[in-house]
Formats: sequence, C-alpha cells, structure tokens
Amino acid sequence: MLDIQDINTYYGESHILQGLSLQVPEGTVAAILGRNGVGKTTLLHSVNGFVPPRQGSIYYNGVEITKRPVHEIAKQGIALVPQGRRIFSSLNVRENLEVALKKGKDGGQSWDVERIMDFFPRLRERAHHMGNKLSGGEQQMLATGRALAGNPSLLLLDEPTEGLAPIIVKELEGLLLELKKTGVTILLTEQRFGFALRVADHIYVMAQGQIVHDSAPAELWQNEEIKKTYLGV
Amino acid sequence: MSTSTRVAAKNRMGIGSLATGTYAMLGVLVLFVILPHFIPGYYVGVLTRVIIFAIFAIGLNLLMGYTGLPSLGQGAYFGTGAFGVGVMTVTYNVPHPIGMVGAVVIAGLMAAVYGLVALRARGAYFLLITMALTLSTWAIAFTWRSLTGGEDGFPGVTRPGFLPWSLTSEVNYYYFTLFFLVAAVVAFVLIVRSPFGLALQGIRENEQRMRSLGYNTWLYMYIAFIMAGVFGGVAGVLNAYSVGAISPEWTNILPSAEVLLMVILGGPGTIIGPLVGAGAIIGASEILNIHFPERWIMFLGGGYIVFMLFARDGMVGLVRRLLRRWSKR
Repeated sequence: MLDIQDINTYYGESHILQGLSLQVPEGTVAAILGRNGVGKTTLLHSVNGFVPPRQGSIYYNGVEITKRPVHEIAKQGIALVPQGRRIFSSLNVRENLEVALKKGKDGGQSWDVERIMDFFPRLRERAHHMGNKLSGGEQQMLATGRALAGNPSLLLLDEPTEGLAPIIVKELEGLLLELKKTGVTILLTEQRFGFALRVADHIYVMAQGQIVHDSAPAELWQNEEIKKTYLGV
Repeated sequence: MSTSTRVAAKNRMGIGSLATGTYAMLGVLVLFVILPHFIPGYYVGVLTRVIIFAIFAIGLNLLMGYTGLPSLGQGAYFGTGAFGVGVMTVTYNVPHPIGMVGAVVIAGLMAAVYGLVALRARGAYFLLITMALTLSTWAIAFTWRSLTGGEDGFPGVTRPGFLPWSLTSEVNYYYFTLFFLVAAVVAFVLIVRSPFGLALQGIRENEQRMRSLGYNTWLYMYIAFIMAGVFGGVAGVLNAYSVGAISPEWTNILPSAEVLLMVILGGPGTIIGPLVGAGAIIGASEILNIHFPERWIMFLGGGYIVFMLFARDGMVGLVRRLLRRWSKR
C-alpha cells in the first residue's frame, strides 16, 4: 500500500504540491485526473524520488521512502513509466528490457524478457529494432515492459495514453486490466477521462497542487459539477 | 546476455555486420603483426606510439563514448603510470613486473580519489574539473623535483627483459606493446558487451532513467572512471619504457587533449574508433611534420574543425554512413 501524507513539493520557490494526501491499496488501480500544470507529474516524481517533497511523508508498505535516493526507492519495488516514454534510443528493444532486468524486492522474478514479450507480442516482433525506430504505442509498451522488468509491486504511469491513436488506447486499456490481474498496484495520471474511469478502481481529481475530489469512478461520472469545474468534460 | 543481443551490439561496433566487424579487427591485427618487417626502424617507433595511445584512448572511450563523461584530465593517470614505473624501477630498484603492476595500481588509486571529486559534476563542468585535476597533478609533478626531476624530467628508464627476449630492440618492444593492445581490446569488448557495459550506455543516454530503474548510477560511473584511469596508467607505463625518460608534461593538458581528440576523431562509442583515431592523429602529425615543419599544427587544427562540423560521429561514423549510402545504390 502506498500512503502519501500531507506532502509539500517545490520546484525552487514554486510551491507545486500543497499538502497532498492519498492512499493506494495493494493490487488496486488509482488514477489522478486534472488539467495540465496541476502537479500530476510532480506527484509521481515525489513518490519515485526525482523531486523529493520538502515536508510530509511517503510510506510504501510501511517503510518511509521520503527523500531516499531514487535508486533505493526503485529497489523498494516502485517503477516509473515516464511521460514521453524515454526509451534508450541506442539500444534495441530487447536490450532496453535487458538493461532493466532486476529481481523483485521479495527476490521473485516472475517478469523476464520472454514473459514481457508474451505480454506485449508487438515487442517480440520488434525485438531487434532500435529504440528510436518504434511507433508511439510500441514505445509505450516498451516503456511499460521496461518498468516490469524490474519486477515492481507498484507501477507509476505518467499519462500512458498521451499522443496515442484511439485504437492503441483501447489496446493499452486491455493490457492494463490484464496487468492488474497479476496483482501489481498501479498509480497513473491521465487526461483522458474515459480511459481513466474504465481502468481505475479509485479516482483522484487534482487542481492547483491539491486533491479536490476523490471517489469511485461511477460516482465521479454522476458528479457534473466536479467534471465541469476541474476536468472540462 | 542472449546471442541475438550480442549480434545487435556487434552491428554497432564498427563497420557493418558481425562478420565484417570481426574480420576488420583481425585484418588490423594481421597488419600490425607483419608491418614491422616491411617498414624502416623509425616508423616502428611511430607505430609503437600509435599502439600506446590507442590503449590510452580505449580507456577514455569507455568513459566518454560509452558512459557520456568527457574527461580532459586523462593525462594525470598517463603521467602517474609513467612516473610510478620510473621511480620504482630506477630510484628504488624494484623488479620490473612489480614496478609495472604497482604503477598501474597507483594510477587506478589516483582515479579512485579524483573520481570522488569529478563525479560531483556532469557535462562541461565534469570536463573542467577533470582538467583542473590534471593541472594539479602536473603542478605536483613539476615541483616535486626530488621524486620526478621537475622540469629536467626523469631520465634513465630502461626496458625490462621479457622471458628470453630483450626489449631494447624497437621491434621487440613493438610486439610487447602490441600484446597489451590486444589484451586491452579484448578486455574492452568484454566490458562493453557485459550487463555492466549495457548499463553504462543507458547512463549515457539518460542517467535519471537508469536511477529510476534501480541503478546506483554514481557507482557505475565511478567504476568506469577508475577503469579509464587504469587504461591510462598502462599506457603511461608503456610510454615511459618506450621513450626512456619521463617529463612532467605527460601529466598536463596536452596529452589529455590529444587523447580526447583521438576518441572524438576516431568515433566515440565504437570499439574500433580509438584505434583509428590514434593512428590517424599520430600518422597525420608525422607526415605533416615532415612536409610542413612550421605549419603542420595548423593543418591538424583545420582537420579537427572539419570533423567537428561535418562528422561529429568521427571517422568510423563517417565510413559507416558512406558504406550505407553506397549499399543503398
């Protein structure tokens, strides 16, 4: 379980996250919705250690991970799939996965290159293509596969559907629901309202560095005011 | 690592496919083995210099071409390796094998200390710090007259015997250095093809990403930094024996810049690049020096500028692009 307690994160003097708290229970999918610039990426980067919060605490499975070095947080079983994917362009698809191979925190290695390629068959087809020769959807799959190669128990997905064609978004949706069945916990940020509602168990709506609403997807669907004020739907 | 990955890695090593890459390497080796029998003695000495600087450049290539850390301070380890073996074997009469190993260990230890300072920065700042460190090393070598001879230099380094062979002859010493070059290339290939080497390339592309994948990237860079220092130390030892005297200038910026240009000109991030760079720069300076004794540095400078403008991936990259264009026809 990921437990974020009242964190305040800054970029220099800009106060980005302003006393934000949320919980993601084990094995569930939580989605953060909100417009550009509300601090969604900063939230994920606070968790994985890129931008440690100045105040507040983050616990993962009871262990405090606030302000720990990035690679140590990763070793706790937390993997980030970044916005824009950030594939290693000078490595081919297989090497991109191999470089990320690590045993999980419990010593288990249920994800290896073969299983990842079984899960994303397109990656097997493209195994020897260089990282910079992939389509957007393939890059997203590779970035997700690369995160899985570390056998994480918590996946942080930063706008996974950004820039993808609707048909690919549909494919990704199926894959995420499959992934959820494997027991991995997922915290994702999204701008696509429908996608988030279909994959998540719980939705958080963010505005100006704070959580302004949280509920089950169905409940948010009914709440016209929140949808209109914060999401522009 | 699987076979398919090795093939893919090899495709990028030099020119073309797995087979051509390996054949090109073997061809170069055969050429190096037979060449001394066909050229005048003076040029055997030049080739020895090429080999020594190739070993030096291979080390920097690991740091710069594969890890993305451009150092302008490799002279520190080159000079320290040289002074190490000189002081031990001449001043203290230590047996040659112990002196050689000891000197390389000292160069490696120096890199281990300097790395703690230099790796606090990246990019141009890393380059400036490594430059400052090599300048400090030069200042120590220059002023510590009782140990290094200061500006008079350190004379009287004699070559060891090697089993039944005397290394006093230029040709025998040439083969001695060639042995180290082959060992250096093999070690280098093993390093860059290993998971460790793959991780270095990941760091070169995106250090933050590697950290978020659970890598202690600092440690990887630190190890690569020490490895580059060790290669520099080996080259320094060989150069001390080759020349027979050591100058404090070896720890200065000039050899650091020379080896940096060899890597840039040859093709950073490729296996054969440093060899090509060392051969091209030493070869060109020899030829230009004969025909244009006063202006050769100008021509060399012009060549660097042309490469910086039109072939930033070096000679290996240039040949590769030309081959690709040619094969498309």
